[in-house]
Amino acid sequence: MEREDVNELILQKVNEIDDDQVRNFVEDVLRFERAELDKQQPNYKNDFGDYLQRYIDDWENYESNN
Amino acid sequence: MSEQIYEDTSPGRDYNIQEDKHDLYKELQNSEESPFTEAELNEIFVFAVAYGSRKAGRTPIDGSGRALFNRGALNDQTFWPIRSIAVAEERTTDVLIDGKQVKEIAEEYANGGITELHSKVFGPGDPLGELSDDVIELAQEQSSD
Amino acid sequence: MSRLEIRSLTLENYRQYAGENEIKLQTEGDKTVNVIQGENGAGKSNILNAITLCLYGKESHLDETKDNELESYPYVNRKALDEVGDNETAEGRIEITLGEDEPEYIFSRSFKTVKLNGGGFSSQYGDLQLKEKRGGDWKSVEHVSTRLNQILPVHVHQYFLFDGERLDEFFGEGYKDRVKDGLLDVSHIELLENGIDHLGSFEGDFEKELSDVGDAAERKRKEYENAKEKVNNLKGDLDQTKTNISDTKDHIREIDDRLQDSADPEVRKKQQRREYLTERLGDIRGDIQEVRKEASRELVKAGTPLYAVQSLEYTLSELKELSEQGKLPPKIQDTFIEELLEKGECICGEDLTEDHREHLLSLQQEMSTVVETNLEGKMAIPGMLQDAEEHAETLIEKRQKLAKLEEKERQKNKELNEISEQLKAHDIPEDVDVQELEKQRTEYEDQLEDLQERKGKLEVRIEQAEEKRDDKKKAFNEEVSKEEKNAEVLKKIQFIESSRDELESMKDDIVSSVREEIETKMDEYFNEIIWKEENYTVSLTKEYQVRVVGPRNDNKIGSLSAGERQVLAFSFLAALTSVSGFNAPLVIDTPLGRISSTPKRRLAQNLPEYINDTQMTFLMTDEEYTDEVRMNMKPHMSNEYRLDFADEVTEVVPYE
Repeated sequence: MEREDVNELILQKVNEIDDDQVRNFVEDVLRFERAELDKQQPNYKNDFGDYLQRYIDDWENYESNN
Repeated sequence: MSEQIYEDTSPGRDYNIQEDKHDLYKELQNSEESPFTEAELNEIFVFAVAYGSRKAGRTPIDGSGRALFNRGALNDQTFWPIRSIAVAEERTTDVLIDGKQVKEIAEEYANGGITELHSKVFGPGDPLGELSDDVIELAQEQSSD
Repeated sequence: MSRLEIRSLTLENYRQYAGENEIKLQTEGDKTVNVIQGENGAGKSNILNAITLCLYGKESHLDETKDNELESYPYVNRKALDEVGDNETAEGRIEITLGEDEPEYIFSRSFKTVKLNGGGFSSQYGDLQLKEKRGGDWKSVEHVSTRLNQILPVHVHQYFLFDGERLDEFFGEGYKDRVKDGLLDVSHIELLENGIDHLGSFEGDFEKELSDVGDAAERKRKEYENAKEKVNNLKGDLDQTKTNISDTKDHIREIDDRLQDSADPEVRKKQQRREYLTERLGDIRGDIQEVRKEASRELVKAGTPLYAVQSLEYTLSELKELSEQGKLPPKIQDTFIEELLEKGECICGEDLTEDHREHLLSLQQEMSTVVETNLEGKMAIPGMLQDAEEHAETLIEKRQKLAKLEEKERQKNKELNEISEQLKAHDIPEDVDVQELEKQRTEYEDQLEDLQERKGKLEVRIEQAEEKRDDKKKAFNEEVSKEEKNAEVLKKIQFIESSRDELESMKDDIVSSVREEIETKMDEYFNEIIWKEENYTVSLTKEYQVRVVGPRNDNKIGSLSAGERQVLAFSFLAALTSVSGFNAPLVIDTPLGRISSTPKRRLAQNLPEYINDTQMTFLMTDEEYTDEVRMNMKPHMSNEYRLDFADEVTEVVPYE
């Protein structure tokens, strides 16, 4: 993430996310959002799908039986 | 003074309320008209216990209860009113050894109290005004003792 | 530390600036300040206009001396225009070089002016261009506005590039929206909101993938879908209502403007009075909300022990008595337990087993705990009752304050109604149909009230509908998870949900902590700059109301002087920029305009420290830029210029 361009506050909060997979995914999503800030209809589905694939296998499903 | 011997019991982790009264608590916490928007659920509960001991009465919980909060949320400020109400109910401090009963008494007063309190807040009139008039009067009576 | 700076500003044939004028603005170390001094007519404000024209296609400051003429006042400098014939075009451009330690971005925009036949002019400007330095080479950037938006978003720029004299308007009517917008813009919340929206749709796609789930689950899916739709419909309703509210407010404002244009000075006076009263009423209502909250807090604290007072007093007296008698509270005496243990036999006759012994011993332990607790009670209860009395006292104070505020509210409302009635009775014919306008205005006001009530109700319904939807979702997921092949998809859905939840809570956290930080800084700056003997407490509530509370606990925002309001606005903006996490340069036109001498001096001294590590360029008149101000700024100054205006042409020269 071109970290100097996203608001400091957001960066700080992202770093506070405990879950590694979720944190990485959220970083990818925010990077995407920042890059596409101006576009009316950013095509996020493909990119989000890619990001998801990177982390989902390692993710431990905490909330299985809430 | 009662001749009853109280069993030493442990009160259990959660304080329970009647299932269908959960909404009342939520409304008291969330509605703009309510004076309780900044209070925690356990604080509203204890207020309801005290209010119930004065304005309603002991109302056994109908059906299975639903946990409202964990005992750990309570502190001295909130525990002593609960204990005292049990003591006054049984007319003896012996009851304090029976944790279960102390909790039950509180839950039942809250059960009655919450319904009264909810009607007071959402009924006609200004709840902040009426409740504070009440409380101020109680304070004045108390200090003149 | 590096900061993003305007390294230079080049004005070519722009308004008063003939030929090419390059103004170097880069700063060194902690000398973060630049000063350009000049008179208004000399093109001082046009320096700010040049920057905003280049970056955002608009000029924010209308030069006071040429107010009416600005429309026909051509972009291109007069001298350059003199050199072309009728129906011919003269061109100019503005270029801004930005960068941290070296030039990184060159923004430029050109414009042209056609000299018309009859002696007028017609101007237009071109697109914004950007060259970015990447890997040593300058490359043209295609999506210029996206890039600009990442450096200094459109909404945010108004807090970094602004006109000091307009500042006191900031806290005029409708300021809460401006404050809220400022806060949200600066937190860059839209980034999070976009993420949340997109993740929502993304999740929806996976939900559709859950297939072959069986009848029971299909039913649940239907219920879930319905619940989702209900939420969306309600949200649509809410958006529409918000739009209607905004439109209605606009209509009212339009009518207000027209009434201000009435030929009758009485009408104008009443309209002005109405605007003042409405502002004050807004503040008073905010205060009432605050005081009600404070009173509620006291009520909850005092209410519990006082409603239980009889029980507490009874318990206290019981505990006191027992303590005097030296008895243990529970009837089962310690000695009794000792006896049992010695005898080795229970009262029921059975022998004491190891278990029994253990139990009795722990009972003994427990005894002592119970005793301890009860002794605590003997000490805690009186304290509790004392506190309750104090909270009740405070509650009385708050109620009294509330009564006063409510009375003020009533009076203001009464006066507003009177004004409205008087205006409705106004039947002197003139251009402005006062009677008719006032009637319309009252209708709009009624409409506004209804709409706001509707908004409140919708918000509550939406919360309830969302809870129901979440329940339905859970039920559906439970059914679905019974089918193993759906496990994969369910896992993805839950992952996305967790991520979304994180974004939601980040959003809430950020808004809340930004608000608190801004409040702290505003309070600090305002008191520092105003430097009166009394200490003010500046607070920023969750509803974006700004309160300036004096030592007598009264909200003084309505009685601040123009200069003080300017300082307050300044404090707010300084707080915003320092909290924003945006590292962008500041350019302020007439920062010290209406401010009286002491605050002026303190501003000059302290501003570079409040907003440290940010390049600040001030455009000042010579009235502002006194020797004293100059002396205070010198330690922080990197560049100092003067505007030399002669023959309708301005030249930028070093100050000395």
